[in-house]
Amino acid sequence: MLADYVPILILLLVVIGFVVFNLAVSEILGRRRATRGKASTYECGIDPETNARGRFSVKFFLVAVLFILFDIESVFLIPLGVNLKAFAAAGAGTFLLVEMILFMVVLGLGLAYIWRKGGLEWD
Amino acid sequence: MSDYLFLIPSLPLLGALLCGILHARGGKARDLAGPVANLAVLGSFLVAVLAFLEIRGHEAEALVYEGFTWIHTGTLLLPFKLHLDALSGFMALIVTGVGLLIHFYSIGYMAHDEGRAKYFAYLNLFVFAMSLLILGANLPLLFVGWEGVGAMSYLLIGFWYDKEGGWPAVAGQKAFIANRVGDMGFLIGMFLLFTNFGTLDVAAMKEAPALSGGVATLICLLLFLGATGKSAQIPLFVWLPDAMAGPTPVSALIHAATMVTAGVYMVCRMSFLFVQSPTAMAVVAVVGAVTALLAGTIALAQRDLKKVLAYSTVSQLGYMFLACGVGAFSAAIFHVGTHAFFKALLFLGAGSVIHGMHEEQDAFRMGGLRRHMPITWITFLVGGLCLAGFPLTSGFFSKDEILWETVSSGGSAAYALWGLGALTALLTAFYTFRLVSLTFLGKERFDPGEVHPHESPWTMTLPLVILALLGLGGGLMGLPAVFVEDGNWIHHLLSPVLAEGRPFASEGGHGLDHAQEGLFMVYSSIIAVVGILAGLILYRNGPERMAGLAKTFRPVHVLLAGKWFVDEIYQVCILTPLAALSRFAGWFDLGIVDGLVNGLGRLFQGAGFLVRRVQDGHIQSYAMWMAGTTTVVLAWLVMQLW
Amino acid sequence: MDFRLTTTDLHALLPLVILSAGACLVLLIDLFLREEARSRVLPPLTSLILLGALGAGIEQYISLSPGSFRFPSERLGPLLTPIWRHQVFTAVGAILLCGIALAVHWISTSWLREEDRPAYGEYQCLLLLFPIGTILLIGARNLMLAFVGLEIFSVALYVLTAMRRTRSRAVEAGLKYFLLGAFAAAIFLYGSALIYAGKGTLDLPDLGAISREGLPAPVGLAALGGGILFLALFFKASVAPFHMWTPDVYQGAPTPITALMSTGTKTAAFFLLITAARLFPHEILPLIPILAIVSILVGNAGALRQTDLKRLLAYSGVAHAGYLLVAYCAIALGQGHQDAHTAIRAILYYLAVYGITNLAAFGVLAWLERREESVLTFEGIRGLGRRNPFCAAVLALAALSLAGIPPTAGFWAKYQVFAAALSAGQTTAAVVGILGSVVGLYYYLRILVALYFEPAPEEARIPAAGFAGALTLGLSGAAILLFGIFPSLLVDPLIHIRL
Repeated sequence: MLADYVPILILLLVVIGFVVFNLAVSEILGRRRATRGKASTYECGIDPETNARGRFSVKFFLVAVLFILFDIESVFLIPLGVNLKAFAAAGAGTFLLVEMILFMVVLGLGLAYIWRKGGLEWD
Repeated sequence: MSDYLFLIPSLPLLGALLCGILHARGGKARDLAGPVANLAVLGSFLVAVLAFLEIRGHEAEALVYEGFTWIHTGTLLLPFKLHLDALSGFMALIVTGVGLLIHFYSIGYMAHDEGRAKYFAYLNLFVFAMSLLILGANLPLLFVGWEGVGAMSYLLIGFWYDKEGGWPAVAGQKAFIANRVGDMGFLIGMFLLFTNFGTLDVAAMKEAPALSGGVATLICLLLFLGATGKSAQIPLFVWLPDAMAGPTPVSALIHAATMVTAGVYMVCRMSFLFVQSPTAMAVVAVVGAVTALLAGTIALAQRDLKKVLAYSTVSQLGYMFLACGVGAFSAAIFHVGTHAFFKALLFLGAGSVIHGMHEEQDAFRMGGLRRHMPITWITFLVGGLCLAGFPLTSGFFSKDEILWETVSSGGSAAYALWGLGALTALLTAFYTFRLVSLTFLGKERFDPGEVHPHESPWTMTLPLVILALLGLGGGLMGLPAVFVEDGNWIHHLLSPVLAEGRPFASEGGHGLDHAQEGLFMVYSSIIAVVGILAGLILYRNGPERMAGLAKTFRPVHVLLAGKWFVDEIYQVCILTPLAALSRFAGWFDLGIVDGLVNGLGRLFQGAGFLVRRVQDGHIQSYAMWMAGTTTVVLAWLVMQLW
Repeated sequence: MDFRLTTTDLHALLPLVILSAGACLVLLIDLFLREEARSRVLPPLTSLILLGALGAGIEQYISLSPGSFRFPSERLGPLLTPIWRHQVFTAVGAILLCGIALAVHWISTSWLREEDRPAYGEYQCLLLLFPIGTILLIGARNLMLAFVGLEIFSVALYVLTAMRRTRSRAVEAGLKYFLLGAFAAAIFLYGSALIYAGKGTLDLPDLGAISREGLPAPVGLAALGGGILFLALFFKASVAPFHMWTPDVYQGAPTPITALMSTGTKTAAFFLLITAARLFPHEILPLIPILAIVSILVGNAGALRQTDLKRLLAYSGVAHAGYLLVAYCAIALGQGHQDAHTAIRAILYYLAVYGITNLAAFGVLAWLERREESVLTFEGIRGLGRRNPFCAAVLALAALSLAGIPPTAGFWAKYQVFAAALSAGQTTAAVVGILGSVVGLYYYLRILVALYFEPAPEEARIPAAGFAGALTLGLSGAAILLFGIFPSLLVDPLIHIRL
């Protein structure tokens, strides 16, 4: 029972180890020479320290929301794809395919909607 | 035919709708209302005739029309069921037939009235309600017609509500209220019937076992209270004379020929119940006889043409109840029929006179009209003879039958009742011909320069002539045994549906035979002729001659002219205390009941204020309320569960 | 596992299929057609879709009613059986909700014209999403599916509420509704999770098991979960004290959407309350009559002092939720099968009548509404009886029906609800309900007074309603009278709801 979760545990350890390793390596190997340019924010970024009530352009949120939306919807395709073979073997391959296509059509409709309404244009 | 029975009430209803629409259209369209209303009533008259022909020969059976289920609640099942047997068939013929003549007459009479379409709508609605009353197979349906008739009479009496300082409107209210008092009795009686029989279907109640004496008496007296309201008997007769405020054809239709007979009809319809209670029968007989005499005396001293006729109606209705009370139900219905003919005739004749005299109603200011209005004169004379009971007219036969049945019902009480009836007959003959003399004979007592009496148009005189013929020949319906053995057609017609009962018969029953019937008929004839001659001779040359007599017997005259001051007595004994009670109830209602209600209202208003305070528009507080409640519920649950 | 779909499955899903395909189609047309072509195509198309779904619902009702032609295999396929309820109950819900959506679509025409957006594809698409979500909620045999349905229609409503995004009041309403709705959704999910933890399943019991002698009541975690799951549904049904959002949101939303919220959401919530009645733990049962009484008092008290008609109807809606809860007591607390049966029918009858009546009332308000918002007050309807007799008559009928005065349908609705509660022994709640409806008379009759007994202000413009709006008003007004005079027309069809 619990043995089923061992791969997940291993994955967890790998992820944590990756982060710790990289941070440690850059800390140890990196040289720190502070310049004005380095201390300033990147050209595309936002000042790290400003009034908390400052205003963002709503477009950032729009892009973020759209990204999350499609990102998460696409994730649903993965289990479907993984299981397609098993379903086909059980004789339900067509069913699953149709389901997937319907799902994609709806998603595509959403994309078309955003596109036509100008949700993808910055200006 | 039974499938078409519903047409009898529904055709006038349809007519009323059309007339209402025509009234709303206004202008020329209103002229169409008369013909439309006439056609509607003609239609239902024809249906009634056909239906009547169908049941003739097998009188014990009835045509039954059963439509939709009207009310079904608990154990009370009331279908819309119409029932036409010999009794209701005969009544339907009278109502639609005489009604038709009066509708026809009204075309001429109301030709120039602004509200004629409305008038015809009311008139048709009246026929609708009346036929529903007659044909309804259960009491609530009958009651719908009963109330409808009351409502229509209210509307029609007050038809000229803005004339004469609003007096007609007041008269309409008086009629309505007096009727309501009776209706209350009828309703309570109906409730008692339902509790005792478990049904309100007349036929079913008839089949049911008899009630115990006390209950039967109580129910009968309550029903009779309803009848006294509708049929203008003591103590509720006061509305009928005032009902003359309406247009004269209305008086003819409602207050002479049809509506007032509703009470008599109802008592006959329920005769199976009345015969179970000799006490109630005795009350009915005595009330009838006393009312007949009382109204007859009042009629002696009235000057108004219509008032005299109105009191004569009350008096004649008294006869009908007298007949019911002594168990001669078919005689009562016979008198209903003949009375419908001649009283409609007299009222329409009076209408013709009033029309010709430019709305003059005071008989003292008429006279000599026979030269100006020959047809009206002849027909009015015929009507007068019938009312007075002149031998061989219809009124003679029906009234004589009542008197004979009264006296032959046995016992000394019967003789006393007969005495009252015979005295009333004398008075009737006298005041009728007093009226005839004052109106048509002698010299003109009006200014010929100002008033030009003229004969009415043919639409008005034709119904008069027809009614006069009916009045003369109507007696053939019920020839007494003296004339033709088994000649009493109406008795044969009705006896299968009416109950038998002789409240005074305990002392020996029919102690009198045919020979004596002939004798009593001679008495009746003599009484009628004496009365008629007295009226003719004393008032031949106008009222002056009798003025002296009135002065001599001044208290009596004042009493009679003042209608025994019944209205005033009611005012003092009933209305004034009632008004005081109303004021008290008003104070109680406004001060205490409303005070409570208003207090409660203010409490809620305060609560509303509180709710508004909580509803402050801040989402944080809303969420707090939700979260708070959720927490409380959760805590409660957790405590309960663990 | 078997994934075949049978014809019965398709039959069961037909209203949903029609609505979903229709919603996609409307969105596509909105994207790719020019303005004037859209304004010609979209409104009739939306009507057609809703009519189709309504027809499918009616067809389901007829074929599922006892004694009628049955679909070849009445049982659903293996895929749908565990999650879907192919029953008359669902069909009745589908009919009600499609009817409501259709009526709302029709009364929207005047508002949309006033907003200069006769072809508003998003509006119509979201309107179509509403019945999809609610039908899912009603037909679900599984709490997860019910939650999906709940979210579909809730999100549609959040957006519709804030549709007039240039107006601060609308945005405020949308935000309030969204935040509190999200809160309720969270509660719903939390409750579901606890139920799953306690029982290991999210299946809803069958309708037949609703009465007391059915399944044993949930215990432990499942009971806790059931308890708070109901609070979320009470939020949707705007039962006090979860009603706080109602007046603000009703006022801020476009009037047709207010109509949709007040009728559709309440219908859906009570349908789920009925099907989920068995999840209710015994320990919390005494709470239901208390909440019913609180709702009746708060609703009626709150409505007394309102001058804004939409707020007034919002509070009246709270009171009506209370009356419905009174009947719901009979299901949850009643002693037997018969009580539950009577109460369910009373609730369905009430929902139908309340739906028709509220649609009539809000329909009139939607007709009167203008860009300047101040008209929907007592001031704004003064003397309407003379200015627009038709509108006034429908609004008067609706007010009478809400007050429960015969011969309107509202009278029978109240009668059945209270009768059901009384026969189940819920005397206190029923008595409070009756007293509350007496208080309610005050503000409903104030509407009548304003309509007929007060002089009309000068210069009162009434926009044209258009045929569809007038038709809806006429039909609902006629239905109020018809079902009031012949209540059996609406009672008899509900007899087939099997328990």
